[in-house]
Amino acid sequence: MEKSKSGRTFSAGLILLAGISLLATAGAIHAILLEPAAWILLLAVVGAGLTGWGVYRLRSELSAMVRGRRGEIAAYTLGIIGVLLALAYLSVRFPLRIDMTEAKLYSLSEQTVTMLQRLESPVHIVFFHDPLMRETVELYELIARQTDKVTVEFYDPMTNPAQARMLGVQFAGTAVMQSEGRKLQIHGGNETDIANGILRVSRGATQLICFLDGHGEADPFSLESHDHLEGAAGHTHGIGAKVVVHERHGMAKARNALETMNYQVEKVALPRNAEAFSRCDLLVVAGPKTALLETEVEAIRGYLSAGGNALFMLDPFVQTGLEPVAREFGVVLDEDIVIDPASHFWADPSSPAVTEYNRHQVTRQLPLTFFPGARSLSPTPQRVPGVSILPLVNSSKSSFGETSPDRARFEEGKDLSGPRTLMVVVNRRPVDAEQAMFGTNSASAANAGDGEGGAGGARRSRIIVIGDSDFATNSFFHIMGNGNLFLNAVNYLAAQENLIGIEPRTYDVPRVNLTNRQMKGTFFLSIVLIPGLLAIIGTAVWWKQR
Amino acid sequence: MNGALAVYQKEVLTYFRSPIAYFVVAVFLVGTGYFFLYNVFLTGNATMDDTFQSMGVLLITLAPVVSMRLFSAEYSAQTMELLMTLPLKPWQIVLGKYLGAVTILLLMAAGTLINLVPLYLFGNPETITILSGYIGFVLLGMACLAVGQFFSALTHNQIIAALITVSVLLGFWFIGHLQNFQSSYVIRDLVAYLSFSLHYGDFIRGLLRSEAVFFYLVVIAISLVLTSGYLQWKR
Repeated sequence: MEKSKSGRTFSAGLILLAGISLLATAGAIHAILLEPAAWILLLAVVGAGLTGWGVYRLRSELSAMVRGRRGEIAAYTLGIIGVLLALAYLSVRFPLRIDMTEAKLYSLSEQTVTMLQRLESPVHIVFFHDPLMRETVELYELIARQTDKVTVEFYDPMTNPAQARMLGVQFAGTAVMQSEGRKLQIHGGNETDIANGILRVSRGATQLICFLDGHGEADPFSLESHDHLEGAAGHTHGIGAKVVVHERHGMAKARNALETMNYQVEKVALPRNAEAFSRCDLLVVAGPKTALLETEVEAIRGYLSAGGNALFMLDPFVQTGLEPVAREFGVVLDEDIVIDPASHFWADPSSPAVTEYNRHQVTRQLPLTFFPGARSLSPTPQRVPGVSILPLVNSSKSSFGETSPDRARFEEGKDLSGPRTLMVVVNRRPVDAEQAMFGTNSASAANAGDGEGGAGGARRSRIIVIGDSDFATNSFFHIMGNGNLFLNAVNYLAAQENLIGIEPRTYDVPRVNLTNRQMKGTFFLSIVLIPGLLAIIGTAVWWKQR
Repeated sequence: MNGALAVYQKEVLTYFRSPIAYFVVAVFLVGTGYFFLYNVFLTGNATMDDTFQSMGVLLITLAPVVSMRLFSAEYSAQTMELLMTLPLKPWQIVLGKYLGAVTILLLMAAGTLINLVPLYLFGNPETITILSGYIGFVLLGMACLAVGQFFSALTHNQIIAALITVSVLLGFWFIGHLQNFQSSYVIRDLVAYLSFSLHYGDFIRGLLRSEAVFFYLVVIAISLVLTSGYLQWKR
């Protein structure tokens, strides 16, 4: 009789175990698949049934256990653990932070706090991040805690691609800010970028993108999709294609995309409208077909010296007058057209296609891009002080720079061998005359050039130079990654404005410089003296006990 | 409380009568000294960030050696019955022994202060950030010892206690990496919260967060409560 009772207990225990296992399995599968399925529900129901049955059959044993001393101990222990877990939960819900760094690296600046407290319109932010962006997430949380006008949602574009697609986000690190129907995307992860973004979207301040006009540039208001200057320097799309049609390329698709991103687009003809030019947050020079006047070049030079940013899209075999300006940024516009027999778009070897890029915010997760009729770019032979150049897009190793417009065959000594650079981003910081003379590139030079100081009141500015303008025109804007490349470039350059003037938080790591003697002393102190003494005492204790 | 104090005194004496404590502290100081010198000589930075990071990993591997004997040694020496028959409550035994182990931890931390001498003599480090790192180190160590003590109470074999503790602590140290491929936000937040290294990282970069402090305190408290409950259960 006793044996059969223990047998029943054993079988009931097995049923209970099987039930709990099935419930756990169903829970785990649901956590992995994250979608309801009938068979998972069935598994859970069977698990729950078995668990219930097991508990029912073991009711007397369980009740004895619960009522016994051990049951009390278990209940008491679990109760305390429950209270502790509740405290832990509350600590997460109502977090407190103390920033112990001297530079207050993890706190908001006074300007940001004041700006947030004075916000008039509510701003909703959707920030797309990956697990490595914990500090930026915390920064957004910190901002949201300052005011109830700012609300933040977090998503990972990898695990929530639909949400990212819906908001036009392509990579982690992008925040979409929305306020009263206005929408703004920002990519920067520091306090300055975020605070400026919030202020801009809440005020409805739009940035003005100026397209240079008057030299046959692509027209941002033209919906024409395949306009070429008849007979002028240009290119073909496909072997045997004839170049005819209309006035010039249109860029209305690019303009529409920019306006969707809350930018304002204007055409600026410099001789007529020099004042409007100074209002521009970004200057786009989209493939002029004739040379700019000297006064226009000077105006652009002045705009860049005053901290303006520009996107130069300059086609092959066209002298625009901007060559010296590019040289001042350390970029030489080669007199060639890039021919890439190995990697090109469709059947046109003069449309180099690119799938691999140098790592940069502009080229992150970019699909294939192609450049119908592009010139190549080279660095100046002498490094320009205060300038840092990063090539972003290169053609393949098999490509070459054809220096003759009438030939498409590599000739040693005449043509430029590949790979060729098609796009560069250049940052220029002001340097004083002495640094420029000696061409220093030290940290001190960088510090000296910070802010608005520097030579002749010049300010930091940046340009992106692309050896082609067609890639962003209506014909090609929507194909593969071309549109993204253009928009990323504009976003990168336009994000430089600084509405509330928060200086990026800097932190000088304290340094220690040791002489060889001091190093030896430190080594002796840290590794030999104290551990050695302890090891000797330990050995003595062991010897005594032996 | 007097009971716990008596157990504590006996425990500290036991530690110092055994060579293990000396060797553990010596090994820890050699390791810490090596990483400190490597970081300072290589980078020239008068900071302890990288050294604290290495100290955390060293602690995860050495704390179980300190905690493994807390109860396992009593079982194998068959002194546990005697201890349990004394007029002491289980929580007093647990707390006394735990504080004994924490004393060794504090000695380990104090030993590393020797590294600060050249840092302050020849550099100008940020004291407050270093203090924050030490708070994190002590909290991490206390959590490791509490977990180790629980596993020591579960088994008679010190080696098994140490091995299980190391495995569990390494699990807690690396669990944060799991969030990279978690699609569920709840699970992702949970694994990030359970990560010893993520919370410790906050301390060493100079950020004192209530949730990190509470996390370690809760781990300590749960481990001590479980150990105490287990001893009561066995009694």
